[in-house]
Amino acid sequence: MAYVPDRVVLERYARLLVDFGLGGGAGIKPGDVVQVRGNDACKPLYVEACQAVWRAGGHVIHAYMPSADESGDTQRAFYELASDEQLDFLPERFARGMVDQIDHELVLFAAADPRSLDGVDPAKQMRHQQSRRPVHDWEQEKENRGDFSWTIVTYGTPGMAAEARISIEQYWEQIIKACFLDLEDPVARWREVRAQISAYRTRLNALPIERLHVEGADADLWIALGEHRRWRDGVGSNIPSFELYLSPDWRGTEGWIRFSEPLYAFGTLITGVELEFEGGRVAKAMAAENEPLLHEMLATENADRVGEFSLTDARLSPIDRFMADTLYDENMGGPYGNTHIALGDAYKDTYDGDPAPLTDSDWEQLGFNRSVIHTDIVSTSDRTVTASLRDGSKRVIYADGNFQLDDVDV
Amino acid sequence: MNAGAASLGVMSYEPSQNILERYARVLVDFALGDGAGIKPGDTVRIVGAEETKPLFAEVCKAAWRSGGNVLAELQPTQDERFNMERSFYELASDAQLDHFPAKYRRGLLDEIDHQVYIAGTDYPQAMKGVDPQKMMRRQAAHMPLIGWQQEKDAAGLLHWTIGLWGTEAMAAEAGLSVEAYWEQIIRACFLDDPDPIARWHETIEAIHHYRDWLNSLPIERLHVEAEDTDLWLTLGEHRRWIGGGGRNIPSFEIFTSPDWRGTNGHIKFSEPLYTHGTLVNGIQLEFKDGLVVGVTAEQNAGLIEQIVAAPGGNRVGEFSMTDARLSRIDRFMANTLYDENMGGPFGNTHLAVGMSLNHTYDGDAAAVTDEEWEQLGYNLDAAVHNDIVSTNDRTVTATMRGGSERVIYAAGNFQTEA
Repeated sequence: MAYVPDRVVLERYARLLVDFGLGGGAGIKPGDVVQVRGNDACKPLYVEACQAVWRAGGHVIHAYMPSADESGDTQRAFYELASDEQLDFLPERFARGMVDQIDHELVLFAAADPRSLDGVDPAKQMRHQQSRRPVHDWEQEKENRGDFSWTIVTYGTPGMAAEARISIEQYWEQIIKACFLDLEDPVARWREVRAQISAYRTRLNALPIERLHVEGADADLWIALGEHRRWRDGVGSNIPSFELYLSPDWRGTEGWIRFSEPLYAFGTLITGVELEFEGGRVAKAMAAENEPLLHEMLATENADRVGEFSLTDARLSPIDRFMADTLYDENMGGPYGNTHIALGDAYKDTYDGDPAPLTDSDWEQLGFNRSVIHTDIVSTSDRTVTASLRDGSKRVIYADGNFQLDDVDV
Repeated sequence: MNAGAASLGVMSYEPSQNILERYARVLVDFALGDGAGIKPGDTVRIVGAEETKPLFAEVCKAAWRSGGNVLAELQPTQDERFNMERSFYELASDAQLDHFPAKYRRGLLDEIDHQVYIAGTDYPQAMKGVDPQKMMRRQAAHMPLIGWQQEKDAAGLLHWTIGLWGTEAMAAEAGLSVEAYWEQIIRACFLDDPDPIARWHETIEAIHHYRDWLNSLPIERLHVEAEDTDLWLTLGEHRRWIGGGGRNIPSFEIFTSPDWRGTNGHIKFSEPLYTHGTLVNGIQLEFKDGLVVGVTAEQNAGLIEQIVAAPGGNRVGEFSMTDARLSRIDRFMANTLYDENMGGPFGNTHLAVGMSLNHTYDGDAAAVTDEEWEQLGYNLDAAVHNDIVSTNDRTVTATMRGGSERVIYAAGNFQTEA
């Protein structure tokens, strides 16, 4: 029998998702419809989450999928068997009905076998992902109207723990610590954490930043913020989340960065990623392991542009181990916190205003990148981030893993 | 009961890969599309619980191999610790029981051309003790979906099939070993044959022979006689007998939906009924002018009383006969799909209380109005459909429109020779 976390831990976890994560910190309302998405590798949390929705007076739409294990691997089989037509197929009426029906989407991420897609042609995977693009757009539209919220969390499996080279107990220790499930009232603690993150966010947004310069042994990278940008936190949409992020003007990225953490993409590990940017595009990409997959990913439309820049303060995040899971690794605390960039799609909610009336060409003019890919790559080595302000002055905003913002007037 | 052992993750018996592939092919390339299988580009919804996963995965693969698209819908296994369905009923308010996600259901139904349901559970008693009224209330809330499905079905745009996955716990309910249980599945579905689809085509031909014969007879009423049974049924206008599609795998029965208003007499069912995870034994029903006026059972009578009390549950929705020569099922399986297709020494007769099947209408069902269905004696406004089975020796005598009588079924066989 696989390791199953304590009932108390699972109940707290589920409550946290339904009463805090969804609805942007407010939880769900009675009568709300919640799509719960998971697979049979995370059944204990899936069942608890459904129960939490029902306790809160909500309705569940199930999206429970088969995971890859010894009794079958439908995902891999799909890629091995599918023709181009099958890869491109979008169940449009089904997906449209789903998006119209639901007020919230709860995504429970669990991989029974994180390497289940090893060796599957990445071009096929990206082609299939591309077919899902309209659904993503419909959801974002609904979210922009304020009618849709989502939360993504992780359920640790022995396979994921093995990838991170820790025991399943240690893996869950990180989850419990990071989500404050060791406290009787994790929701109360998350409200405090959100208040702390908000304080940094308010200060960052008060600075008229034009460009950022990331410097360290692993980086000499320039990022241009662009017009009408605001820093956001991910609290609620991601649990846990400690980062502050923004989608910069992709056209202003210059220089190079080496990422200390490995990258998981399409069930495969890419280590030692190093990128060089010229005029906003990746001009050179290297990896110590699985470099062809990195190149394949970069070949996807607009995947060679930055869609996100993010900083995490080491004082906020209790995550101190590599977890081989983007959700955790992009929120890493440890000695120096983390900086990460994402290649691919930009987050429109980092636009400083009402995104609803903006047209595709407005977004393009603002330098918001559009891609079917959004891949976060993380660095936890010591970096200093210096901001060039609009008046020409410079100041350090982040050093030794901490925000340097105490003197900013708000 | 082996549910405890199953929930502890004890590896259960599993058929060979060869058998699984044949099984999946029968479902996808034969059962769907009424014997024709799916076409490239068709969309197939596949539903089954976690414990059916080896077959679930093979069915997905079979659909992809035949050029189809798959909407997969796995359902969590129920056990003592994680019993999601049960906790829904424990937690749900009336508003939650009544919730029908119309936009989601409509979109899903519009999308699909076929539906495969793989039945099978590690925990057949999972719903024991849950208030049946709540379950029926929820079922009633989903009636619009049943109407939409029937509409699409009647228009020939939706095909569906049901197959069974055997588990140790289900076998135990039937008093069989899991190996013996699977032996029934393998034999019944011809999975012991290298070309089970060819065998199914032969079987369907034989079923169609009996079906056409039944349809050639101008039957007005049926009289079912057996020990503790003396029941009259009225066929009604524009009825046809149906059998030999791919909607159930396996299926050997020939059935129709009679005019519910003409049912009179009493029947005792020799087989137990499984529904909502509960076993009901020794059911007896008494009908007067089409309505159930008496219901008793030797065990769990409360559940059959609730079924009869549900909307439309006190009327007959189906009458069915299986010829013992066609069906290779010769053991009680504690599962409606198999028990209602039982062969054995005397074949079986069963009737369903609740929803009528509108494809038994002898014409274009899509053109029939609600009012006309009512006039025809179709019980379509029902929230339940429960088949109850007898395998004891029965004689079925038909009264023809001209007034003549003839025995159409005796000693488990159709009596085609006058």
